[in-house]
Amino acid sequence: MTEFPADAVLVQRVLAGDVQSFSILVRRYRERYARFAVRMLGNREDAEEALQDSFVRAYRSLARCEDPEHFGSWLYAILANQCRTAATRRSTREKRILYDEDLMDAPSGENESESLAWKSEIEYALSKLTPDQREAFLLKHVEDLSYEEMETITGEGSSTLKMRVKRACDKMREQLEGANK
Amino acid sequence: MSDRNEEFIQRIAQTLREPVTLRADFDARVMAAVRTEPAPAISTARRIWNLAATPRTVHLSPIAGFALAAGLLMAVVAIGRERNVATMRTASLSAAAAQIRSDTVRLVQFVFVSQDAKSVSLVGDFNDWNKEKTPLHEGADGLWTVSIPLPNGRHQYAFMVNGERWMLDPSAPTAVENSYGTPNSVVTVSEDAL
Repeated sequence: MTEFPADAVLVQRVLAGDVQSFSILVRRYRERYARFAVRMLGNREDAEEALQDSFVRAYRSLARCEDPEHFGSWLYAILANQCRTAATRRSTREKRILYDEDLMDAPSGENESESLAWKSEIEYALSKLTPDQREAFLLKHVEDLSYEEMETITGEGSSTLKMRVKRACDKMREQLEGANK
Repeated sequence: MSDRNEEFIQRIAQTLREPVTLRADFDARVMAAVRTEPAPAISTARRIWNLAATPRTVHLSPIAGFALAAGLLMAVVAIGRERNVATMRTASLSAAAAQIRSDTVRLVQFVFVSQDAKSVSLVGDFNDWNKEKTPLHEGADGLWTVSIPLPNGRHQYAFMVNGERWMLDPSAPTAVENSYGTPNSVVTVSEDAL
Protein backbone atom coordinates (compact mmCIF):
# COMPACT_ATOMS: atom_id res chain seq x y z
CA MET A 1 0.00 0.00 0.00
CA THR A 2 1.42 3.36 -0.99
CA GLU A 3 1.00 6.09 1.58
CA PHE A 4 1.10 9.82 0.96
CA PRO A 5 3.12 11.85 1.34
CA ALA A 6 5.73 9.28 0.41
CA ASP A 7 8.57 8.59 2.84
CA ALA A 8 11.14 10.17 0.52
CA VAL A 9 9.16 13.41 0.40
CA LEU A 10 8.87 13.53 4.17
CA VAL A 11 12.58 12.83 4.60
CA GLN A 12 13.32 15.59 2.11
CA ARG A 13 11.13 18.01 4.06
CA VAL A 14 12.67 17.12 7.41
CA LEU A 15 16.15 17.63 5.99
CA ALA A 16 15.02 21.00 4.68
CA GLY A 17 14.06 21.96 8.24
CA ASP A 18 10.39 20.95 8.49
CA VAL A 19 10.63 18.98 11.75
CA GLN A 20 6.86 18.49 11.93
CA SER A 21 6.98 16.21 8.88
CA PHE A 22 8.87 13.71 11.01
CA SER A 23 5.73 13.23 13.13
CA ILE A 24 4.01 11.77 10.04
CA LEU A 25 6.76 9.16 9.81
CA VAL A 26 6.33 8.41 13.52
CA ARG A 27 2.58 7.86 13.09
CA ARG A 28 3.16 5.76 10.00
CA TYR A 29 5.51 3.22 11.60
CA ARG A 30 4.82 3.25 15.33
CA GLU A 31 2.12 0.54 15.53
CA ARG A 32 3.77 -2.13 13.44
CA TYR A 33 7.20 -1.53 14.86
CA ALA A 34 5.85 -1.41 18.41
CA ARG A 35 4.52 -4.92 17.93
CA PHE A 36 7.94 -6.16 16.85
CA ALA A 37 9.63 -4.41 19.79
CA VAL A 38 7.15 -5.77 22.34
CA ARG A 39 7.59 -9.32 21.04
CA MET A 40 11.37 -8.91 21.06
CA LEU A 41 11.63 -7.45 24.55
CA GLY A 42 8.63 -9.00 26.25
CA ASN A 43 7.17 -5.89 27.83
CA ARG A 44 5.70 -2.66 26.64
CA GLU A 45 7.80 -0.28 28.69
CA ASP A 46 11.14 -1.48 27.30
CA ALA A 47 9.61 -1.72 23.82
CA GLU A 48 8.43 1.90 23.91
CA GLU A 49 11.83 3.02 25.08
CA ALA A 50 13.57 1.12 22.28
CA LEU A 51 11.12 2.45 19.72
CA GLN A 52 11.48 6.04 20.91
CA ASP A 53 15.27 5.76 20.87
CA SER A 54 15.09 4.36 17.35
CA PHE A 55 13.02 7.28 16.08
CA VAL A 56 15.40 9.78 17.69
CA ARG A 57 18.44 7.99 16.26
CA ALA A 58 16.78 7.93 12.85
CA TYR A 59 16.13 11.67 13.04
CA ARG A 60 19.70 12.36 14.15
CA SER A 61 21.13 10.32 11.27
CA LEU A 62 18.53 11.17 8.66
CA ALA A 63 21.05 12.73 6.32
CA ARG A 64 22.78 9.35 6.16
CA CYS A 65 19.62 7.55 5.02
CA GLU A 66 20.91 6.36 1.64
CA ASP A 67 17.53 5.45 0.21
CA PRO A 68 14.75 7.71 1.59
CA GLU A 69 12.14 5.82 -0.44
CA HIS A 70 12.83 2.90 1.86
CA PHE A 71 12.98 4.87 5.09
CA GLY A 72 10.85 2.17 6.73
CA SER A 73 13.43 -0.57 6.17
CA TRP A 74 16.19 1.71 7.36
CA LEU A 75 14.25 2.52 10.53
CA TYR A 76 13.50 -1.18 10.98
CA ALA A 77 17.23 -1.92 10.94
CA ILE A 78 17.83 0.70 13.63
CA LEU A 79 15.01 -0.71 15.77
CA ALA A 80 16.13 -4.31 15.29
CA ASN A 81 19.62 -3.33 16.40
CA GLN A 82 18.25 -1.49 19.45
CA CYS A 83 16.09 -4.46 20.43
CA ARG A 84 18.88 -6.99 19.86
CA THR A 85 21.27 -4.97 22.00
CA ALA A 86 18.69 -4.47 24.76
CA ALA A 87 17.65 -8.13 24.73
CA THR A 88 21.23 -9.40 24.77
CA ARG A 89 22.23 -7.03 27.56
CA ARG A 90 19.24 -8.04 29.65
CA SER A 91 19.51 -11.77 29.05
CA THR A 92 22.92 -11.73 30.69
CA ARG A 93 21.64 -10.24 33.93
CA GLU A 94 17.97 -11.01 34.37
CA LYS A 95 15.11 -13.12 33.13
CA ARG A 96 12.91 -11.82 30.42
CA ILE A 97 9.85 -10.16 31.88
CA LEU A 98 6.68 -11.70 30.56
CA TYR A 99 4.18 -8.91 30.61
CA ASP A 100 2.36 -8.05 27.47
CA GLU A 101 -0.95 -6.47 28.43
CA ASP A 102 -2.34 -6.53 24.92
CA LEU A 103 -1.56 -10.14 24.40
CA MET A 104 -2.95 -11.09 27.80
CA ASP A 105 -6.02 -8.84 27.68
CA ALA A 106 -7.37 -9.77 24.30
CA PRO A 107 -8.45 -13.39 24.16
CA SER A 108 -9.37 -14.44 20.66
CA GLY A 109 -10.21 -18.12 21.07
CA GLU A 110 -13.53 -19.69 21.85
CA ASN A 111 -12.48 -20.46 25.36
CA GLU A 112 -11.06 -17.47 27.20
CA SER A 113 -8.95 -19.31 29.75
CA GLU A 114 -7.55 -21.67 27.12
CA SER A 115 -6.73 -18.72 24.93
CA LEU A 116 -4.91 -16.94 27.76
CA ALA A 117 -2.96 -20.06 28.60
CA TRP A 118 -1.97 -20.49 24.94
CA LYS A 119 -0.78 -16.89 24.72
CA SER A 120 1.16 -17.21 27.92
CA GLU A 121 2.86 -20.37 26.64
CA ILE A 122 3.79 -18.66 23.38
CA GLU A 123 5.29 -15.73 25.28
CA TYR A 124 7.28 -18.10 27.43
CA ALA A 125 8.49 -20.13 24.46
CA LEU A 126 9.52 -16.94 22.69
CA SER A 127 11.47 -15.88 25.75
CA LYS A 128 13.50 -19.10 25.61
CA LEU A 129 14.90 -18.25 22.16
CA THR A 130 18.16 -16.37 21.81
CA PRO A 131 17.71 -12.74 20.71
CA ASP A 132 18.99 -13.60 17.21
CA GLN A 133 16.58 -16.53 16.86
CA ARG A 134 13.68 -14.49 18.22
CA GLU A 135 14.42 -11.67 15.80
CA ALA A 136 14.61 -14.03 12.82
CA PHE A 137 11.41 -15.83 13.83
CA LEU A 138 9.44 -12.60 14.29
CA LEU A 139 10.64 -11.01 11.06
CA LYS A 140 9.91 -14.14 9.03
CA HIS A 141 6.70 -15.51 10.48
CA VAL A 142 5.07 -12.59 12.30
CA GLU A 143 6.10 -9.65 10.15
CA ASP A 144 6.00 -11.84 7.05
CA LEU A 145 9.17 -10.45 5.49
CA SER A 146 11.15 -12.07 2.71
CA TYR A 147 14.69 -13.26 3.38
CA GLU A 148 15.91 -10.47 1.12
CA GLU A 149 14.18 -7.88 3.32
CA MET A 150 15.51 -9.59 6.42
CA GLU A 151 19.04 -9.39 5.06
CA THR A 152 18.65 -5.63 4.64
CA ILE A 153 17.36 -5.20 8.17
CA THR A 154 19.71 -7.52 10.03
CA GLY A 155 22.82 -7.34 7.86
CA GLU A 156 23.04 -11.14 7.96
CA GLY A 157 23.15 -13.50 5.00
CA SER A 158 20.10 -15.54 4.02
CA SER A 159 21.64 -18.89 4.94
CA THR A 160 22.33 -17.66 8.49
CA LEU A 161 18.82 -16.28 8.75
CA LYS A 162 17.24 -19.49 7.46
CA MET A 163 19.16 -21.47 10.04
CA ARG A 164 18.04 -19.14 12.82
CA VAL A 165 14.41 -19.38 11.71
CA LYS A 166 14.59 -23.16 11.57
CA ARG A 167 16.14 -23.44 15.01
CA ALA A 168 13.63 -20.95 16.40
CA CYS A 169 10.73 -22.96 14.95
CA ASP A 170 12.13 -26.22 16.34
CA LYS A 171 12.59 -24.71 19.80
CA MET A 172 9.16 -23.09 19.80
CA ARG A 173 7.48 -26.33 18.79
CA GLU A 174 9.49 -28.35 21.29
CA GLN A 175 8.67 -25.90 24.07
CA LEU A 176 4.96 -25.64 23.27
CA GLU A 177 4.41 -29.33 22.64
CA GLY A 178 6.23 -30.11 25.88
CA ALA A 179 3.96 -27.71 27.75
CA ASN A 180 0.83 -29.37 26.33
CA LYS A 181 1.81 -32.93 27.18
CA MET B 1 8.63 -27.78 6.75
CA SER B 2 5.72 -30.24 6.76
CA ASP B 3 2.13 -29.00 6.44
CA ARG B 4 1.50 -29.86 10.07
CA ASN B 5 4.52 -27.92 11.26
CA GLU B 6 3.67 -25.00 9.01
CA GLU B 7 0.15 -24.91 10.39
CA PHE B 8 1.51 -24.98 13.93
CA ILE B 9 3.91 -22.08 13.30
CA GLN B 10 1.19 -20.07 11.59
CA ARG B 11 -1.05 -20.56 14.62
CA ILE B 12 1.72 -19.12 16.80
CA ALA B 13 2.36 -16.27 14.38
CA GLN B 14 -1.32 -15.37 14.24
CA THR B 15 -1.37 -14.88 18.00
CA LEU B 16 1.80 -12.80 17.90
CA ARG B 17 0.38 -10.60 15.14
CA GLU B 18 -2.22 -9.13 17.45
CA PRO B 19 -1.65 -5.38 17.61
CA VAL B 20 -0.12 -3.68 20.63
CA THR B 21 -1.22 -0.34 21.99
CA LEU B 22 1.23 2.40 22.75
CA ARG B 23 0.67 4.94 25.47
CA ALA B 24 -1.37 7.89 24.24
CA ASP B 25 1.48 10.36 24.64
CA PHE B 26 3.99 8.28 22.66
CA ASP B 27 4.06 10.61 19.64
CA ALA B 28 4.39 13.69 21.82
CA ARG B 29 7.30 12.15 23.72
CA VAL B 30 9.10 11.19 20.53
CA MET B 31 8.63 14.62 18.97
CA ALA B 32 9.70 16.36 22.19
CA ALA B 33 12.89 14.28 22.16
CA VAL B 34 13.42 14.96 18.46
CA ARG B 35 13.07 18.71 18.97
CA THR B 36 15.93 18.71 21.46
CA GLU B 37 18.20 17.32 18.73
CA PRO B 38 20.15 19.57 16.37
CA ALA B 39 18.70 19.64 12.86
CA PRO B 40 19.99 16.74 10.78
CA ALA B 41 22.37 18.23 8.27
CA ILE B 42 23.53 16.89 4.95
CA SER B 43 27.31 16.86 4.89
CA THR B 44 29.13 18.90 2.27
CA ALA B 45 30.50 15.72 0.72
CA ARG B 46 26.98 14.33 0.46
CA ARG B 47 25.69 17.53 -1.14
CA ILE B 48 28.45 17.41 -3.72
CA TRP B 49 27.61 13.77 -4.42
CA ASN B 50 23.88 14.56 -4.73
CA LEU B 51 24.67 17.40 -7.07
CA ALA B 52 26.87 15.16 -9.20
CA ALA B 53 24.37 12.31 -9.14
CA THR B 54 21.35 14.41 -10.09
CA PRO B 55 20.62 14.18 -13.80
CA ARG B 56 20.42 17.63 -15.35
CA THR B 57 19.51 18.86 -18.79
CA VAL B 58 21.77 21.57 -20.08
CA HIS B 59 20.67 23.63 -23.07
CA LEU B 60 23.41 25.48 -24.83
CA SER B 61 22.76 28.61 -26.87
CA PRO B 62 23.26 28.63 -30.61
CA ILE B 63 26.61 30.18 -29.94
CA ALA B 64 27.62 26.92 -28.37
CA GLY B 65 31.27 27.69 -28.91
CA PHE B 66 31.16 30.03 -25.96
CA ALA B 67 29.70 27.21 -23.92
CA LEU B 68 29.71 27.63 -20.16
CA ALA B 69 31.74 30.84 -20.11
CA ALA B 70 29.15 32.57 -22.26
CA GLY B 71 26.37 31.26 -20.09
CA LEU B 72 27.91 32.61 -16.94
CA LEU B 73 28.42 35.98 -18.56
CA MET B 74 24.78 36.06 -19.57
CA ALA B 75 23.78 35.30 -15.99
CA VAL B 76 25.62 38.37 -14.80
CA VAL B 77 23.98 40.47 -17.48
CA ALA B 78 20.59 39.09 -16.58
CA ILE B 79 21.03 39.90 -12.92
CA GLY B 80 21.77 43.49 -13.87
CA ARG B 81 18.62 43.67 -15.98
CA GLU B 82 16.53 42.05 -13.30
CA ARG B 83 16.79 45.07 -11.04
CA ASN B 84 14.69 47.11 -13.45
CA VAL B 85 12.11 44.40 -13.69
CA ALA B 86 11.93 44.14 -9.92
CA THR B 87 11.14 47.85 -9.80
CA MET B 88 8.35 47.38 -12.34
CA ARG B 89 6.77 44.56 -10.38
CA THR B 90 4.36 45.77 -7.74
CA ALA B 91 2.71 44.42 -4.64
CA SER B 92 -0.19 43.29 -6.78
CA LEU B 93 1.83 40.11 -7.11
CA SER B 94 0.87 37.93 -4.19
CA ALA B 95 3.46 35.35 -5.04
CA ALA B 96 4.75 34.52 -8.45
CA ALA B 97 7.72 33.74 -10.54
CA ALA B 98 8.79 36.07 -13.32
CA GLN B 99 11.41 35.37 -15.90
CA ILE B 100 13.93 37.49 -17.67
CA ARG B 101 15.32 36.19 -20.87
CA SER B 102 18.82 35.86 -22.01
CA ASP B 103 20.29 33.53 -24.59
CA THR B 104 21.35 30.79 -22.22
CA VAL B 105 20.20 31.70 -18.74
CA ARG B 106 16.85 32.93 -17.52
CA LEU B 107 16.63 34.79 -14.30
CA VAL B 108 13.55 33.81 -12.32
CA GLN B 109 12.16 36.01 -9.61
CA PHE B 110 10.28 34.36 -6.78
CA VAL B 111 7.95 36.51 -4.70
CA PHE B 112 6.23 35.64 -1.46
CA VAL B 113 4.01 37.96 0.55
CA SER B 114 3.88 37.71 4.31
CA GLN B 115 3.68 40.48 6.89
CA ASP B 116 4.40 38.09 9.75
CA ALA B 117 7.26 35.94 8.50
CA LYS B 118 10.60 36.32 10.21
CA SER B 119 12.42 34.53 7.40
CA VAL B 120 11.51 33.01 4.05
CA SER B 121 13.71 30.80 1.93
CA LEU B 122 13.31 29.05 -1.36
CA VAL B 123 13.80 25.30 -1.57
CA GLY B 124 13.64 23.35 -4.79
CA ASP B 125 15.15 20.74 -7.00
CA PHE B 126 17.62 23.38 -8.22
CA ASN B 127 19.20 23.93 -4.77
CA ASP B 128 19.04 20.42 -3.31
CA TRP B 129 15.99 21.44 -1.24
CA ASN B 130 18.37 23.26 1.07
CA LYS B 131 16.72 26.07 3.04
CA GLU B 132 20.05 27.75 3.74
CA LYS B 133 21.01 28.28 0.12
CA THR B 134 18.41 30.70 -1.21
CA PRO B 135 16.94 33.12 1.34
CA LEU B 136 14.36 35.65 0.18
CA HIS B 137 14.96 39.31 1.03
CA GLU B 138 12.27 41.32 2.77
CA GLY B 139 11.08 44.50 1.11
CA ALA B 140 8.24 46.89 1.80
CA ASP B 141 4.77 45.65 2.74
CA GLY B 142 5.90 42.12 3.56
CA LEU B 143 7.12 41.48 0.02
CA TRP B 144 9.87 38.84 0.07
CA THR B 145 11.82 38.31 -3.15
CA VAL B 146 14.76 36.51 -4.60
CA SER B 147 15.98 36.09 -8.16
CA ILE B 148 18.03 33.15 -9.33
CA PRO B 149 19.23 31.96 -12.74
CA LEU B 150 17.58 28.74 -13.86
CA PRO B 151 18.06 26.62 -16.97
CA ASN B 152 15.16 25.83 -19.25
CA GLY B 153 12.83 23.17 -17.96
CA ARG B 154 10.31 22.47 -15.23
CA HIS B 155 11.48 23.14 -11.70
CA GLN B 156 9.71 22.14 -8.51
CA TYR B 157 9.93 24.34 -5.47
CA ALA B 158 8.34 25.54 -2.25
CA PHE B 159 8.86 28.25 0.33
CA MET B 160 10.17 27.55 3.82
CA VAL B 161 8.74 30.11 6.22
CA ASN B 162 10.48 30.79 9.55
CA GLY B 163 12.71 27.83 8.88
CA GLU B 164 10.00 25.26 9.53
CA ARG B 165 6.78 25.85 7.59
CA TRP B 166 6.62 24.31 4.15
CA MET B 167 4.40 26.49 1.93
CA LEU B 168 3.44 26.13 -1.70
CA ASP B 169 3.37 29.16 -3.95
CA PRO B 170 -0.33 30.12 -4.06
CA SER B 171 0.01 31.76 -7.45
CA ALA B 172 2.26 29.25 -9.15
CA PRO B 173 1.00 28.54 -12.66
CA THR B 174 0.72 24.86 -11.85
CA ALA B 175 1.11 22.72 -8.77
CA VAL B 176 1.40 19.09 -9.70
CA GLU B 177 2.13 15.93 -7.85
CA ASN B 178 5.80 15.11 -7.89
CA SER B 179 7.10 11.61 -8.47
CA TYR B 180 6.44 10.75 -4.84
CA GLY B 181 2.78 11.74 -5.01
CA THR B 182 2.76 15.07 -3.19
CA PRO B 183 2.44 18.54 -4.64
CA ASN B 184 5.19 21.05 -5.09
CA SER B 185 4.90 24.34 -6.87
CA VAL B 186 6.19 24.30 -10.41
CA VAL B 187 7.80 26.91 -12.57
CA THR B 188 8.50 26.21 -16.22
CA VAL B 189 11.44 28.07 -17.67
CA SER B 190 11.45 28.32 -21.44
CA GLU B 191 11.71 30.80 -24.26
CA ASP B 192 7.93 30.85 -24.56
CA ALA B 193 7.24 31.33 -20.88
CA LEU B 194 7.23 35.11 -21.00
